[in-house]
Amino acid sequence: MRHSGMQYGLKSNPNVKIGSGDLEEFYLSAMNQMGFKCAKDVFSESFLNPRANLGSARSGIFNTKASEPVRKAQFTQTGSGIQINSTTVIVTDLLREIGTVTEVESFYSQWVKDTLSEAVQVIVETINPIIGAQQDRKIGQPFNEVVKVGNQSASFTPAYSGEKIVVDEQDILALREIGVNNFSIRGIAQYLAIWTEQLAIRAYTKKQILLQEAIFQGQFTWYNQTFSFGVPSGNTFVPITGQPWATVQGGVLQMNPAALPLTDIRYFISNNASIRRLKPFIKGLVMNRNTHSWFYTNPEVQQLIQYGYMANPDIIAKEPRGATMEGMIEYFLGGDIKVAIYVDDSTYEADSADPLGNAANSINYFIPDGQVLFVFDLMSYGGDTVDFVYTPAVQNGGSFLDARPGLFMVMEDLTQPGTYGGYENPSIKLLCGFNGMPRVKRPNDLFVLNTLG
Amino acid sequence: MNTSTIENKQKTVRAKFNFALMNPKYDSQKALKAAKQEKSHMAYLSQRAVDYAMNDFVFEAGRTYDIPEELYNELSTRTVETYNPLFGSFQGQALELIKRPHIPFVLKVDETGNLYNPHEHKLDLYPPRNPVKVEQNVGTRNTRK
Repeated sequence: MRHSGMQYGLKSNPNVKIGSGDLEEFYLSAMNQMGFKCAKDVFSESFLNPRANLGSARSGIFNTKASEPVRKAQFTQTGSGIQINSTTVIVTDLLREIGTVTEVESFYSQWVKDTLSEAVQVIVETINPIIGAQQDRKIGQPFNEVVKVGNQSASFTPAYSGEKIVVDEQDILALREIGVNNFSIRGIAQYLAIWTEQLAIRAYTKKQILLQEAIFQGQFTWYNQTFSFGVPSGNTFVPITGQPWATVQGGVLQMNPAALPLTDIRYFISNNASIRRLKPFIKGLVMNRNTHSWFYTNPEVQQLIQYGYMANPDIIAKEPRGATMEGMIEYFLGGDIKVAIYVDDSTYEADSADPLGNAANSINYFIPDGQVLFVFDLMSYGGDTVDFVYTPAVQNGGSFLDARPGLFMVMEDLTQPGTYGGYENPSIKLLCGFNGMPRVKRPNDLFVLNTLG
Repeated sequence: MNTSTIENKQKTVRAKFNFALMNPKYDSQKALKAAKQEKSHMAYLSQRAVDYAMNDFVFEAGRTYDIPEELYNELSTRTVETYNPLFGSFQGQALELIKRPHIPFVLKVDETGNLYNPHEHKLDLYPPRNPVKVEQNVGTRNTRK
């Protein structure tokens, strides 16, 4: 389970807990129960062909094959609901705009492990590398003594992140359920699910931004405090040809035909001295879709495909999947190096208070433009390069005696008598957050090729 | 004075490369030309292997080379923003520690080849950020406000 430790429960009654560890599953089921469709369902068979699923009472709402009702009444778009006037109205669709989407297949969620820590301070202990070769020995003389391998440790402390949504008495009473034609059903349950999702997606976005900062900047910032992971300066690569993969043309980055991306990749994997020791462990290269398109459309790559790879049917015949980018890279590198090209498409839509300073409403990749991360499989040497550590949160768990690590989502029910809201000021608070940090456990093994540098 | 003498007297600079650079003499089109000429991808592979096997195919990072002065002049102003090698929490530290250093691409070294240490050289490792921010090549959604 990816996001273990997440709790959704009533603070006023700790025994009521919805979902033991997976909020995503919770809100998916909550959405489905209320007739919502989530991103996963959009292209499902039942959605595209609702008649195959006539048993479901909900399918009519999402019947895309039904003709659009003729709009003869005045068309009015409102921000918060339906204007009641003398015309008949029908709600035919309940849509969800797409902003930030929690991509299940994103690099950070698939490749970067979550670590749950029971303590606030987290230590990584590292045994120093074994180097050198045995020395000659004079016969009959004492052996040469070797300096013993030592170890070192690094200590990490968490950042704190959290947000709330306050649902006041007016919201509880006045909100109607949207997407249905009975306008008298109160919709607070539906809205709680929507706002839960909003908070959860914003929390995941924050987590992934922290990971992005850790990996591609080697540091992260929390309330103007910066924590550097001590990645050596030399672990930043730039194209060896001196030609960036993309250059600014007309205000945006466009592919640079003078670049030699395959030569760059080949050099860093095969020849570069600092990465040489990691060659047996190399697993793949991670880049975003922009970087990949600069790579793939580059003349050098196209020429290799044309004259080297595609011109050799034997090589393609050996590939069970046919001609692939991985096969091409493998062919280009020679030998037995298997390098997967992982293109990450996950994005988020920034708001006006973006931690990375992106413009509001801009859609940004979690993997920055032009950056290529080298990923290694280092499990046989204790663990991977980067992980994300959750430290305990008081909000997470049944009581303060039982603070647990993980992303928490709690609902504080202040409508009950005796709470600080109480009968006089009944409200509900949704609180979501985490205590934790991205962690570069192996700063020496974090290598990034900045193709724009 | 013949041509070779002039070449021999070409001014060189002893410089340490902090980042790898392919020798500008390398012709990336040579392998492709061979492939087209021979109509064989083996020609492409062979020529490329020969090219890569040249001793001076690349100036490796961290090593010192005698390079032509023109090349040095080209590279001398180039810097690369890299990771900050200092480990730890920078709360209350000088602002320049917090930033990521801009390491010079090449550094002139003396005859003994003194190694580059960013903390011993008076270098502008933390220049002010370029105020012109290049827009990312990503979409912006039109929103109804």
